Amino acid sequence: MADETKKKLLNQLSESLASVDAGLVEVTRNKVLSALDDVLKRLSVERVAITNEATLIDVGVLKHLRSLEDISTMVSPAPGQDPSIYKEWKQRLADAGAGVTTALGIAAETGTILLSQLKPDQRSVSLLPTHHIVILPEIRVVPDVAALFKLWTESGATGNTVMVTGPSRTADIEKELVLGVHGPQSLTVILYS
Amino acid sequence: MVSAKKSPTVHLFIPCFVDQFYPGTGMATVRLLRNSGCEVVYEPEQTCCGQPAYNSGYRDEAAHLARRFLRLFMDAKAIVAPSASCVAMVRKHYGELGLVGEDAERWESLRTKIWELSEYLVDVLGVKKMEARFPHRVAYHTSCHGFRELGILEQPLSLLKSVKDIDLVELDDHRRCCGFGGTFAVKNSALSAAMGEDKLEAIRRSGAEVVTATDDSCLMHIGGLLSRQKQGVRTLHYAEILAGEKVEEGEE
Amino acid sequence: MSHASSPKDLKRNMKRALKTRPEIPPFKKNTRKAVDARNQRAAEWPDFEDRRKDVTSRRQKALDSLNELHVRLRKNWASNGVTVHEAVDAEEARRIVLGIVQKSGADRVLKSKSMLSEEIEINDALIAAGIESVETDLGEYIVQLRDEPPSHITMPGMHLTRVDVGKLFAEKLGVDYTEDPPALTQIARRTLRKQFLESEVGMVGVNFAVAETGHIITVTNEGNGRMVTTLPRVVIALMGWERVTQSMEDLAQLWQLLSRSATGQRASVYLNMMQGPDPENGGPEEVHVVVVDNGRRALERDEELREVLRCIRCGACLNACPVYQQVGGHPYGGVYPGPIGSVVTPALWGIRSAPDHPFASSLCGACEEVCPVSIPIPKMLLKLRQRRVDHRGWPDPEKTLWGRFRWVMDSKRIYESASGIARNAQKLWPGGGEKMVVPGWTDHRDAPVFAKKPFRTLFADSEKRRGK
Repeated sequence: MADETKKKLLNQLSESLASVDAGLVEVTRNKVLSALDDVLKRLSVERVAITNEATLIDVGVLKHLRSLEDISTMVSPAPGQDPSIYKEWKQRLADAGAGVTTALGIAAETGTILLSQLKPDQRSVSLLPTHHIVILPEIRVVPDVAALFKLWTESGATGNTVMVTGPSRTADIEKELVLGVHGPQSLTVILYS
Repeated sequence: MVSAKKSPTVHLFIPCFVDQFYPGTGMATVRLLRNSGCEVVYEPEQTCCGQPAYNSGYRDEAAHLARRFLRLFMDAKAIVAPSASCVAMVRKHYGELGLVGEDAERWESLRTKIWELSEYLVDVLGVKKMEARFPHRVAYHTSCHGFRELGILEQPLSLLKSVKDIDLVELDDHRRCCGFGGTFAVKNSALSAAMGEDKLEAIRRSGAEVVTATDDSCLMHIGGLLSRQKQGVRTLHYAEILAGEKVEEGEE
Repeated sequence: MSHASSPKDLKRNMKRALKTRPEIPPFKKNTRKAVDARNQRAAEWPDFEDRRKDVTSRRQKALDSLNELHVRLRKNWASNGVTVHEAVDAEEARRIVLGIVQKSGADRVLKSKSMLSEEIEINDALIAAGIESVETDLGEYIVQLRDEPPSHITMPGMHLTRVDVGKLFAEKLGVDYTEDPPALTQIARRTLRKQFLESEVGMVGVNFAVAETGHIITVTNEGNGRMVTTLPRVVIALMGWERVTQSMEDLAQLWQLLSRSATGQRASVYLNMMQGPDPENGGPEEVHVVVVDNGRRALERDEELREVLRCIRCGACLNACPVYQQVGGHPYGGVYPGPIGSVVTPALWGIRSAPDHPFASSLCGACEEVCPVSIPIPKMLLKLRQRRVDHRGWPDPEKTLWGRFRWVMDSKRIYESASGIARNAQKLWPGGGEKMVVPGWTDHRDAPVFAKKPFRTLFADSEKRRGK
């Protein structure tokens, strides 16, 4: 992608994420882990949940988190186990301070992320913990929602998944905006080049 | 302002309530059209376009009056009315009355030849300026049928803006319905009045002395509320402002 | 669980609402905020109108081929492991849902927002069977605690102030009084979180079902839609027959227009895409879809009104409606308030079920102006008015009146004579013409005064003077 276009998209993404009260941290690949540390510290996270998704492994997130002393890390269980395992996992997830996932793509126009498919289960990790942190490479920024859908259908469009735009919110009381209802109270995107 | 080539013949359609309650609007319309170089024809057989009946769900009665209207005006090359809602009735809603045969053909032909006054002046004749003077603060209320069904807004505004010494102000939420709505005003009178109250609130905030619009029906409702509450604000159809206000009986 | 009032009581309810509402009704303030937000977002797209036309045509295309789309949908559902149930009417739908819940052995259902669930009155049925039904959408949760129906499609507590909610939570939940919306929201979050985690059965409304893949789509902002489709063992999705969209590509456009029109968001926070059960990944073991007809298939065949099936329940028309802004949603009764409700209720269940709805409108067209799928609501209201008139018996004073009207307007002579009589009658009114009593009109306004001479006379006189 041409530099000019990329710059425009990133600017647009920055604005759109701000408009939905989501945080954006842009770093080079080698600074991802320290950026993650900063976010976890800022949010006072003591327990973090993570999935075995390839991107996260690739960037060394799991290994790094396990090496931290003041944060306990929980990894999502492998697929194909007894349902009671997942039930118990979700109970513990609900007490976690943050859930870390990656995403298939992010739309610049709206700040919408397309969570990866269900294997491994990114849904609960992105839903139950108090805060949600998404780590993904810059190359996965697409222009708009239509492009995000295209990405989804091109990758097979199978499975249960969700598109997420910012932290959960409501305006049900006097149309006053409140962040953090049933879903996560904050969403931070760590975008690396 | 006047096209050197043609002197178009315009057939007036003066709706029933304008005829009876606001003849000044009609006379102003005549003056404006003549000043713009038109021949003006008025066929006294005309009465009503049928909208009140249609509005109340009486399709057959409306269709009957529609057929009468179409017969009456079928040879006109241009029909102009100082009432956006009546023009919308003819241009659009006549198509929902189940007209067939000759009547349907007449409608197909006529619907391209009927205009609201400001539409005709601005879009057809290309009029840009008015000679009148009206040194008052005037608020413009955007009548719903005119705006939403016929897209009328810039035409009357542009003409009003050109009036000398006029202080034209925009009402807050000027496009919100005043609450007249035809028989709605009577059937749901408390609701209609509540909606009108909001309009009066906006009028008060604007400090206007005069309220104007494309439809005397809206002004009848707004004016009725204003005078009941002794607000000291009057209503006046924009044609009368453009034509030099009180067009005295018989004056050209 | 409180019922909405009957749609037949519309006139009475509106009168009462006008008399009893506060100085500045919350729905006036809140709807205007919503419209401003919508307009702001619409203005971001210079081609908004084109997009709207596009979405309208996609939606109409889907409606025109619903049968084929349903065939495709069912194939996909079958291969996705989704259990499909067909419900002809509300009663059957209730029976089916009850059956599923009872089979699961659960004594509580957690619900995410669904207008359809209210249409079939499922909560009452569940309660009667000893099953608790918990609304989890904040607004729905609030009105459920208050034991009253929602007053808006997408903002159920539109009619309430923060003080109302503060008092409610203090009383019903035993918490310290606060009227701070963030604090109130936290209270609801804490209270419902435990229930989410323990839930066995979740129920959700379907915004769209995608024929191309079989995905069941839920649009929410709070996250409760995700909770009830991810955590429970059994998920029940309630779907109106007409809620099918052809493809993911259609969905992309529909979703954006829906979000911008409903709340002025570029995108709702969550677009939940559920394909089927996936217990091997910690997802639900059973996913049931209950496809509900309840008058929709008959409406498909109603040439004059079938366009209303395009509706995606965004609520933009409610926000823009000057009538709704005055009285809120409760007076409309039934399930669907506002402009769309005024069409949908008589369209689905007959004009006799809601005879006054089509008339509770000034036909201003603000609704049509903001509708993302271009439903011509005023045109449909006019058609419904005709149906109402057709249903009037004979003799009927109103029919007689309009027959008279036609007779008068049919002849210049009679028209001129009748107006002359009226003019003279008004002249004799004690106190002057403006004081004349005209039932309905002069309750609040002064009467219009007949001019000394009508236009036709003035014009004729002036022509004479001109020598014409």
